[in-house]
Amino acid sequence: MFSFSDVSVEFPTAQGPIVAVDHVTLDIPKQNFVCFVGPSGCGKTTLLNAAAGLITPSTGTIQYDGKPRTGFNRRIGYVTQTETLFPWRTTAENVGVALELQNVPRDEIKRRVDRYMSLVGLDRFGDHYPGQLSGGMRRRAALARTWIYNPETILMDEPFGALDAQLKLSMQKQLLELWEENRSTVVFVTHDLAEAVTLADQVVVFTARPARIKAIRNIDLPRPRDPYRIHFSQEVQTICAELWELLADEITETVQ
Amino acid sequence: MTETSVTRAAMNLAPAKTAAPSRRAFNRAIVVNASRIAVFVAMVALWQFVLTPALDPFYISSPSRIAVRLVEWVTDGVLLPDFLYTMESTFIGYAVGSLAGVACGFLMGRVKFVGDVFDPFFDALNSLPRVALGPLFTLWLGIDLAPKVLMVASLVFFVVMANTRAGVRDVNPDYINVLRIMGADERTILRKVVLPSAAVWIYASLQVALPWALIGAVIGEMIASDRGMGYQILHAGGILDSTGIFAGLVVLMIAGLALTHFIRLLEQHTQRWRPKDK
Repeated sequence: MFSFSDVSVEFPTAQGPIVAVDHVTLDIPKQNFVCFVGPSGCGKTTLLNAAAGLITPSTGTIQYDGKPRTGFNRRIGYVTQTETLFPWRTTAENVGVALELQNVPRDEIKRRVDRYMSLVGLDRFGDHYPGQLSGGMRRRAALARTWIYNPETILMDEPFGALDAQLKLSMQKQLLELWEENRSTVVFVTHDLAEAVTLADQVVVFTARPARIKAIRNIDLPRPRDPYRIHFSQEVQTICAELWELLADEITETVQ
Repeated sequence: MTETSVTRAAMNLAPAKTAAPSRRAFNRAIVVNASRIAVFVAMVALWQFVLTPALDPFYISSPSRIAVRLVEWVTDGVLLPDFLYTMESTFIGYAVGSLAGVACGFLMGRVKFVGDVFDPFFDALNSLPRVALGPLFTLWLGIDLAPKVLMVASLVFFVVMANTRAGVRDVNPDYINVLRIMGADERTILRKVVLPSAAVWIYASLQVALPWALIGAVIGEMIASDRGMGYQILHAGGILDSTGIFAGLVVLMIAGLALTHFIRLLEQHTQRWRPKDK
């Protein structure tokens, strides 16, 4: 499990330091599905980068399985918000790259790549280069690239943000099905409240920059959940309305 | 929604491929090539029918004289040995210079300390006019192939090294992080991210370096040699034979064009992931 204790991240700039994350203390239990929501630009991505070991917090510690982490965390998978498919590899070669690193035999790689490519609806695009795909397709390929090696913990930074509403529901469904299967720990950043409520065990609401935890809300909807059914359901809408109240203050603050 | 409909949604997002643009591209290629031939014919005709009669052929020769001379060279078998000699030093020097350039560029680009220490030394060496080193190369290595190879390599090396270094430093750190998180070691990162990412820069430098390789070989032959295209051109100059000089230049030009074209084909093959016409 992940535990953040008193984690702050500051970036030095010419105009003085900018605080992106402000004293965050949070435990993420193993095999839990946790969603981070908060105003855009509030520092959620910074917190994920710190969890992945890409940046070092200015104060506080991040522990993974009870041990303080330094350097890169290799037991996680990270689906970043930026485009990181390798443009010189075909989509299938991109999706299989983690298995190549683990020296998985070639035909086994092909088999698993085929499975995950069809899971994200890209079966016929294996030989295309990322430059030939649409933005949404590239996002889905990036998901498949992380899911395929089944990491213990998966960090996802607005993975479905660029998708249209229908595709989004379909991807949520596939994500939940996969998760029921392998029960990895998931930290999922989104600005879509309904998405957060549909997917998560806990929704963590952050304040406007610097990111501070405003509230943690447990979502006790029964599992397995079907996003198509519950997305528009009364329970989800009620919880969303409640979370929206919390977020609304923060968003007005950001706009002002 | 089933998986097939997801696939169909994906299909709709895919860039449309139609037959019409390829036909248009084909027609355009015909027009471009026809125009090139027209420009070439016009220039040769201008030289043959306007410049040569107006000026003295002693100085500027003429296309017909050059063509006759080239045919003579080929049929007498005097062209081939000189041509091969020049190509030999060009190729060996180009290969040695490029390999050393890529290796050093990688080291300097990837290991910050090495780059910081050696950057000014390489800049200083590169600013030396290489022609001025010619006598030294001759002193060290005699007048056979070796000094010419060194001349070629010394020119090619810096072009390739500087570009490789820039390409290696330009690699998107996000790409490196992706592999790091997946557990890759430094060697794997070099092979799977840094090299393919820097390849664009390396190919560009290989193209730029190619004419330099020819220049190096010819200069080397002009400084001290008894063979090669550079020697033949110098010799023709010595006996005031402008036709001989031009014929030598034509041979070098054709060789340079062919080599550049070859590198470009190689680049197009390995870089086929790059979007075209942009």
